[in-house]
Amino acid sequence: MKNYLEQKMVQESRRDFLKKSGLGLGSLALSSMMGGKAFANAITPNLGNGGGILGTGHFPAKAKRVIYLFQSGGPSQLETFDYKPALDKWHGQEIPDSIRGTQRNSGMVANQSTFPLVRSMYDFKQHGQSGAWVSELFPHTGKIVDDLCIVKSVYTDAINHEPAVMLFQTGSMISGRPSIGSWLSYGLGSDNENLPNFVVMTSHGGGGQPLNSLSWGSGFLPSHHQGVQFRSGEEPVLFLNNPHGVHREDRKRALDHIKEMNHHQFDVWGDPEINSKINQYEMAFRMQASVPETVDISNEPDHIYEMYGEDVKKPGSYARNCLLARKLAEKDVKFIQLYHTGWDQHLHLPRGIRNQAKDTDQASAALIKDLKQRGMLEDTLVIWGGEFGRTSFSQGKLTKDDYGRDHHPGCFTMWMAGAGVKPGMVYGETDDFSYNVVKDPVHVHDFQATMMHLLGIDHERLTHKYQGRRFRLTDVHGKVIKDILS
Amino acid sequence: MMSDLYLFFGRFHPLFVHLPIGFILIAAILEAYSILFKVKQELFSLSIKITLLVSFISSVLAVTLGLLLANKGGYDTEALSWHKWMGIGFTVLALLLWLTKAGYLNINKRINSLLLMGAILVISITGHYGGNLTHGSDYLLTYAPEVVKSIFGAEHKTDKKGATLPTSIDSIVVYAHLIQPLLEHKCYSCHNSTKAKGGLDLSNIDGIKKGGETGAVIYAGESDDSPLFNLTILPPKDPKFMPPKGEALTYAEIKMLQWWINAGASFENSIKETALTDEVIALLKRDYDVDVVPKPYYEEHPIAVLDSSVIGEMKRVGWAVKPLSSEVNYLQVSGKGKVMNARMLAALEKAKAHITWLDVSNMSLTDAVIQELGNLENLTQLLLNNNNITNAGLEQLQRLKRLEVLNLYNNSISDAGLQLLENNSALKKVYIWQTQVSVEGAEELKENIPSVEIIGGSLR
Repeated sequence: MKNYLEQKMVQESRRDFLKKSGLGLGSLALSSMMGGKAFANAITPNLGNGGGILGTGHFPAKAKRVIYLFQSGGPSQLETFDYKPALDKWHGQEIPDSIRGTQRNSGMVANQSTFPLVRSMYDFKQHGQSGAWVSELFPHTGKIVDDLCIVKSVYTDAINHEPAVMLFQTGSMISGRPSIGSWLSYGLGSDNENLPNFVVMTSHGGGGQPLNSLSWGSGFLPSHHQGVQFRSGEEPVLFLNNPHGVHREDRKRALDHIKEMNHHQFDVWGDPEINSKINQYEMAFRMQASVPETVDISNEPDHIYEMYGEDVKKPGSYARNCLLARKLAEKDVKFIQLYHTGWDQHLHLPRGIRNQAKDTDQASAALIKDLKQRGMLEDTLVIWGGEFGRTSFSQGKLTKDDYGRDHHPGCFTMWMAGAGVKPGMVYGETDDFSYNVVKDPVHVHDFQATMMHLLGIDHERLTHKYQGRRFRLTDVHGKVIKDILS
Repeated sequence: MMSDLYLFFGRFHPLFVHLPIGFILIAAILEAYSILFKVKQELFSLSIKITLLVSFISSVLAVTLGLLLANKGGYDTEALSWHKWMGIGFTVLALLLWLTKAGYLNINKRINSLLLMGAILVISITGHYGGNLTHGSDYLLTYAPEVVKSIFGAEHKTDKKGATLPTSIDSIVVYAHLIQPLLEHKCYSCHNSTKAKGGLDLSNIDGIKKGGETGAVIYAGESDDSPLFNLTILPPKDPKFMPPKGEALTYAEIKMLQWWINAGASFENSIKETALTDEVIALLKRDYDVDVVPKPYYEEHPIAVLDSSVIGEMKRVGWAVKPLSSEVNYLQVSGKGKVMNARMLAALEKAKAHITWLDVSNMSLTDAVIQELGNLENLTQLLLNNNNITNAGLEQLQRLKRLEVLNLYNNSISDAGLQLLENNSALKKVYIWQTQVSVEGAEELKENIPSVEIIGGSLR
């Protein structure tokens, strides 16, 4: 008896009841109106990897997929793209109070008695038709600036890594909300039934902060929308391969049977998560074939290897992940999320950032060139950036050839390329110290709104009701930066 | 120094000009009343006498101040001359009327009445010329109904900003539709053919070209040196700031002037013939409702929704089909990676007007199949990459007049094939990586279609 009541309770939870009855009656009415069985199928709720909740976008999508090259740790804008010749004059002097203002600093410099400004140890040069300034650490990126839209005026609310990454990936500093890729999967569905909609690949630079898998979680959205992490090595997706001795046909039969039982359970319990489970089993089975094929780069010609650099031969490197990102994009995976850690240079920044640049510069640029020659930059959006910037004053001791920089949410640089973004553009300005934004500020939510816009989604209209209110990626914020749209 | 003092007093002219008018009207009304109702009271007659005297005295004052004001110049001489002599004439009439009424002069009563009416007529004409001098000759009738305008032969004016702009961007002439209206709104009242302050008449092209007393007002290409622009961006308190009275130019108007002058200050060129900047594009959109950003084909030519049974069939035979958006009924269709068959091809034909983005990459397509794609009249994006297409296949694509993006990478296309596309003038991007197209071949197509970008050639 107790069991029966519990079952009824789960089955008829108010929200699920409404959801089911709403959709049920709606689809019933519509299918009888249209008089076709096929149509009834087309409008059953998106529980599989077919169509998304939106069906098609709110407006025609310039971007069909996104490759997000997340530079985790907070790359210094001052040694990458935000050239500040004025700091030559100010080098070693205290940062003026008028500049520092009330912007908060992290606790890590709380005990510091002096805040000497420090110029970039690395030179800058202008590149391309657009004349964008790029540091000498990024020679390959310098060559592709005419394909990039460099945004120098991004700012965030968070000052520490995890909340800052969460804010970028889920729109909220508090973990638990759905990530960008999950929202896209939920809203737009899949273009390839054999691969997940949302793939995550990580690579590690020196001494990186750990990554939290919640930053590719699905939050309150059905769990099959979460990011699937591809690892390097023998098993790109953990526990995907059949155990030794189990034949693919046997596995298929077993899964079919499990599916039947799951359907039965769904009829009894009515829990939508059971549908997620069915989907995940099916996807896993299909991925047993599709993943090994996708991550196999042995067919790539030599000139492609050369383009991405020596590292591409090392599984788990950033370069390898960039090449895999292109291959996944070719297979129409909607959201391809790379993380490269190690940008957190509180101390010994000159050495640290040089190594990071060496690991990432060539492959990032190669990815752009590779997508471009294939015509894929037409409908693939590539994003490069970290979770915050770094201070223009030195953290730790400033010596002749060494310094550090602390976290800085006030301004930092990102770039975007491809699909509907103006190429060869530099957007936004910071002050002479790269401490405050002085023109065209772009908040994290504005960036997200713009990205959604490019994907054909009105960020205010892709919502999910949870705990009594509707949530969206940008929650109650965000405006599309129209100026950078082509 | 003296002339400044003249001007100081002269500017009280508008204050006094209304007194003689008012008093002569009162006198006329009282006179008419006394004749009509045969009023014989002495007091009534005295009132008329006093009114006429005040009208005369104030008219002397007005004429004197007017002469001081006119001393400075800058007015249309003909209109000024009429205004001046009519004003003086009125003063004389007012004097005669008063003298008669006061009994110093004996004039026949009938003639006296005629004189009074004449005085009112004369003062009306004087007032009209005065109004034209300050407000411009077209001030009165600008907003008059068409019928009234035609009676008085006033020109047809199109002054409501934006309201009369041609709908086609090609036919918007920068001067006639954007610059002339703003000059009319903000500058004509002082710089017209009748008033021409500073010797400058902005109401016609010759006047603008001629400039004013201090020289030219526009130097083509040099907005910073052109007074027409640079006086509008002075601090409003600067004595040279234009316009000195009335509404200042808006930001957009200032930018329009700057843009027009920098682009050569042509009086004939249309928007399309004038180099645009991002800011001007944005302002045209915001303040003039002119969208010069070329719109995608699907937006400019909306299409009705396609029968869902056709879409259903396309899906059944293997196509992935989606409308471009919930509001745009054109279709994006992909068969990427599948094997093309006759049924798939036939299904395309049924949606031929609706398909605008088509991805048939990696489908082992041969020339025979490509020919069928020539029927998809509204294709704007065609991804043919990674197939077995040769030059012959491209022949049929000549029919795709709206094609903007064509991906040919990894096919057996050579220069000769690319040249077949020379009349596809809508083309913006052609991808030719891993084809046999040479740099020269790419250049040749660019000569025929200057806007096309050919991508991937040097990376082969």
